[in-house]
Amino acid sequence: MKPVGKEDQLFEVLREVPTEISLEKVGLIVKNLPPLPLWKNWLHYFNLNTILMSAITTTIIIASLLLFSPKEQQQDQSIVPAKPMSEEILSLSPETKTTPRTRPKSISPVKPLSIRPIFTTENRELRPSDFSLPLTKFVSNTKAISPPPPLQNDKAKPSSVTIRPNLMIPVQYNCDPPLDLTKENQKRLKQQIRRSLLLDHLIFSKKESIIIEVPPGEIIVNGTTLGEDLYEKYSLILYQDVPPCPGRHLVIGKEFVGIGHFTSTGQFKGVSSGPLPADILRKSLPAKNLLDLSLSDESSTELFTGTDLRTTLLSDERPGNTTFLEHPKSQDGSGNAFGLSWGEMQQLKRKLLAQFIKDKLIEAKQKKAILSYRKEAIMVNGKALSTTLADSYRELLATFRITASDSREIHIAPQFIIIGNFTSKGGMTLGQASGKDMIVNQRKPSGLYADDTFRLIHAVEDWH
Amino acid sequence: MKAYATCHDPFIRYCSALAYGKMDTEDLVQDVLLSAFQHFDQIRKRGELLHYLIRAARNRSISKWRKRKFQTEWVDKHSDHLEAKGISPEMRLDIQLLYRTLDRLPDQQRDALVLFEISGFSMKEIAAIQSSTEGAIKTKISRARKQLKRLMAEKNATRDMSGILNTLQTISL
Repeated sequence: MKPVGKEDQLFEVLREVPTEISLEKVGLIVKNLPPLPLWKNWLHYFNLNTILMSAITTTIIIASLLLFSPKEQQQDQSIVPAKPMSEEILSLSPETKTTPRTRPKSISPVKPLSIRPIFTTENRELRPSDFSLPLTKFVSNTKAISPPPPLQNDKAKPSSVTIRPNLMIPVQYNCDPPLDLTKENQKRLKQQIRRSLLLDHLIFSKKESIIIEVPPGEIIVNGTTLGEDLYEKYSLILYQDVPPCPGRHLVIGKEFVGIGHFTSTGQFKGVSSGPLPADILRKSLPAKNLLDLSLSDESSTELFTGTDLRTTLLSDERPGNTTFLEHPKSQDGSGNAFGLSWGEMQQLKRKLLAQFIKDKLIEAKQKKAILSYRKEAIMVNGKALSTTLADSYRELLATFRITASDSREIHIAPQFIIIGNFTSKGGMTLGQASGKDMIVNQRKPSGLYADDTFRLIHAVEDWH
Repeated sequence: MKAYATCHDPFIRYCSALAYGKMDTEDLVQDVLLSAFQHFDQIRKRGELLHYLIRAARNRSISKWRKRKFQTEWVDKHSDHLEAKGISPEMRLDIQLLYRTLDRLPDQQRDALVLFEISGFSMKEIAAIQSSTEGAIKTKISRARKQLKRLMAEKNATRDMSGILNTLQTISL
């Protein structure tokens, strides 16, 4: 038999000794236990995490609703108490006895093309215009205006006032050719716009070229339509010098300012001053509002062209005086500057390329080339050709009715061919182009001016 | 209470063993009962109540009084209780020594030994409480016994020596 140890004896004592707390006492303890609150049953499903998540979700939903809710009503309410401009103009009429019943909300936006002139300035007269768009006189806030004719009925409500959506701000526009800008005005305008655009991060460098479109009720900077706040700001800066007009552009380069229209036929109409830098052309071409130039399709299209005045300007060696105006009619009246069809352009390109390779002027068809076609000499990529060689090219070009000129050049790249007159400052005054990828894609540099060397190799000393 | 009545004896003994010299047994029992009362709905089978109570008592004692040393006041209180039950002073001293030695055993071994020896649970029940196997419990108890015996022998030797020294000191004075 296993001997019983001392521990076993002790365990036995502890096992048999009456319990420290009796069953009755435990009964009392249980009776005195605090009753469970009723809410405890369901409240335990909620904890801090649930509460926090619910609160955050609710906050996000409410914030989103507030953020994306339409603000039109709020803005209308805030603007209505102020006396609208249209009402102000109407009340100027001494003859009309009727109280204007119009409220801003009753004025419906009017399409620019349906506008009739009803106001005239005191010191301006209508000029004969060659614009395709109807003319409307611009009423400046700073100038005295003559009383408007009395309103006969509701149909005679101001038609020259366009309401900017959501803002209820009347926008007047004037498609008169812009006034000549004085040097002081040009400088001020450029500096003011540059500074503002830099501050608003719409451009990132003072040297960056700027193209601003000013259709009524909108301002588009380098292809970006400004929001309401910025629109109000820039309308104050711009409209004094550049009245809003559909299709009107303000072009600002390093030393260049131009105000005018790009027409669908590839013309630029307006005034400008300063040397036109090459990058303006690069920047302007890919802008969405200039796509009517149709440069990127396969058709034969004109580039910017000049008028008779162009000749004068070209001969005028004063730097910084480049003006684009209407170009003369083409030789065959087709609208193409050199009267070449698309097929002829392609044929010329192929023949020239083949000739260049044969004469070892370029290494392959994929290379770019500039042929300078002057009366006294022909140069290819800055290299003057021998008389014999030049004669062969003259013969070839003559078959395509292309004559020599001091500023005439033919640009050839794998994707396109351009024949035109180029200024010594880099601008193109007359030309015809065929092909694609002539413009520079800002995201993916390609095309005519993507590679600066393409132009730098040209013999023109002061090309840039 | 009906469900509890069957669990009362082993549960209180286990609580007494856990609380000896460290805390008030009543406090521990009250805590565990409150917890059981609050979670009574979750205890599906009434047979699981005892297991729940034992586990709760163990967890409470660990969480609330972990690493607490023996305190004189609680030792005296528990000793008084044993005295009231008619336990001799020498036996009380041995019981105190036993509890102190038990406290030095590994947790699992001590629990298994207390549940088996003092609360009177079977090996099977202890395995269910500790979520273990019967064989493992048997091993734990066996090892705990050996360890306890060794530690008790050491303690006794020390106590004998200190007794002799005390006697010599008294004679010399």
